[in-house]
Amino acid sequence: MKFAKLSLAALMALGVSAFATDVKVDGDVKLYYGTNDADAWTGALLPHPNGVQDDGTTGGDLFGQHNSYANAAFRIGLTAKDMPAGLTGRLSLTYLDTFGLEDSIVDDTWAGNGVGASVWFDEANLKATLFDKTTVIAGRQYLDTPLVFSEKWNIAANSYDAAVVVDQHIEKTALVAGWIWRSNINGAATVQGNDRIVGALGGTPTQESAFDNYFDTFGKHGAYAVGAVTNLIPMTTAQAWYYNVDSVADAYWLQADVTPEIGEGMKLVIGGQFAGTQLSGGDEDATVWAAKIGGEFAGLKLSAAYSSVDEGDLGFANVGGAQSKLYTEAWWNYGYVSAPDTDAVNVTAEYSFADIADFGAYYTATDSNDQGRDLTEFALTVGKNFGAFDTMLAYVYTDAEDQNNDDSYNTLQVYLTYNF
Amino acid sequence: MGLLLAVTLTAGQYATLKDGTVIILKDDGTWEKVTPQKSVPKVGQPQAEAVNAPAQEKVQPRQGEKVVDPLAARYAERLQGLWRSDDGRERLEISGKRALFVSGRTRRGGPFEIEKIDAQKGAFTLVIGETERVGKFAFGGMRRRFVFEGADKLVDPEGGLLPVTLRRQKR
Repeated sequence: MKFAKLSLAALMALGVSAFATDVKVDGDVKLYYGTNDADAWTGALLPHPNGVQDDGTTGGDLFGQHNSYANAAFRIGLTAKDMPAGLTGRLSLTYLDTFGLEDSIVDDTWAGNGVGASVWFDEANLKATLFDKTTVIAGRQYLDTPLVFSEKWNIAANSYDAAVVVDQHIEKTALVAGWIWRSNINGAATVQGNDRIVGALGGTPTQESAFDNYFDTFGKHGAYAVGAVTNLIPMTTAQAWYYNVDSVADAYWLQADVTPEIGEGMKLVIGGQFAGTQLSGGDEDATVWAAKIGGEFAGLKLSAAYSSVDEGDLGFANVGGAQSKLYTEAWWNYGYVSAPDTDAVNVTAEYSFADIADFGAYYTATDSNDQGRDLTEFALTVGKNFGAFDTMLAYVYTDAEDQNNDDSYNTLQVYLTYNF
Repeated sequence: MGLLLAVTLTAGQYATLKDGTVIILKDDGTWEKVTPQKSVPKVGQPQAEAVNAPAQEKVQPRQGEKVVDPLAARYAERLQGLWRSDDGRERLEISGKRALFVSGRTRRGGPFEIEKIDAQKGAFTLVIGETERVGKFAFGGMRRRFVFEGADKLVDPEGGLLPVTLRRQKR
């Protein structure tokens, strides 16, 4: 099967190159490693309830095999412009593997449904400009909308089989209509169909759960989305979206972000979000509001945000994953701030020292009326680019009522990426 | 107008295209065709067409030396510095011959090149970290198509659902 897929990729690449006048080849190799000192934790593959170490003792051990997870991924993509009829083609193949690390330094994976290798096309689409300012992208692609988007935190991003039309005939405004029929859901447990969608919207904290080459129907019969994004109001980006996951759920999302200049090199950032979800045949609709205030001062980015999700059947996480677009979203523990009946705060500070490194500090806390769902997370990151090599080191302090027997624990993560 | 053709820069302001057309390069990245005027020579002034004179001093590149499109060099110079998108999600740093592009948790760095310049519109393609080019295949790197709007504003018309605007920042 894998050979069949690779052969198909080669054929498509040859086909693309035969017609196109301009072909770009891009890709990357990634190695992501994480370790924690939790006594009990849940990995992408397995629950690790007892923290049993190699020497038979119990208890979490940072860098211990039982408390570590890793994956390597290889991705290669082709973009062909100026194909016949002015089409642009995009093809990208992802290869995810554990490379035997499970036999030596780790006991779980960063992503994927099992130990070993998976191969899949994360992108395979055609882009056409129908009229002067109307574009259609059809096929497997990455999406970026408030409730359906591709998540970039993982070693591979989730993608969607979709058809999307974007019209820009109105000045400074984009009108979007999309039909989504399949996806591989990033970070959500691999339960099927309806439950999977509801699980994702509900924001269950399963960010380390498996996903890879398994593309399944979105809900029962797919979903559609329409939206409008505009910059007509000066210094403001406003957007409105409506989603219908056929026979499963409806949702809407409103957002406005204002970024006035308040001085030379200083910018204020003020944002507001309001959204709602409704489960078909459910008992209670849910709404959320969130606000953010922050600023950028000489390279320093600071922001504080608050969100409040009321009671309801569904939450506000990505339908195709685990993360949410709420201003208060945590750095690592996704699914908490977006869950029903939850208030959350987030404080973020990021600073880039020129020619040294990028530093980030992120604090998130939630207060849930759902018993045993409160979270406190504090994350520190440092990232440095060495030309084609990109590196990031992250420390995450997690204190969640539903993790590690309600005890706090520490996580270290190493992100290595080679771009080519 | 084939700006892709060999361009000879004169005194940092004027360029002569291969077809003989003389243009003036403006600070905002646009250009304008000019007509060389013969000036009446004053005593002691060399008799030459003012704008074409430096073209006669064209320096041939040495063997193995990469020929740098002077217009691209000029664009690269204008790009030097720190740029941020209005929504704060993207950051572009250009320092000397290297560039760093940051979007969320994604960083992409390396040597950069300027190509496909449309000087009339101030448009160009920024290529970061390309490793090889063979025929119609370009390997590696990332590409963004930008348009200069004034000295301190870059716009990528296809950067997102709406054009993405990056503004020059003070460090």
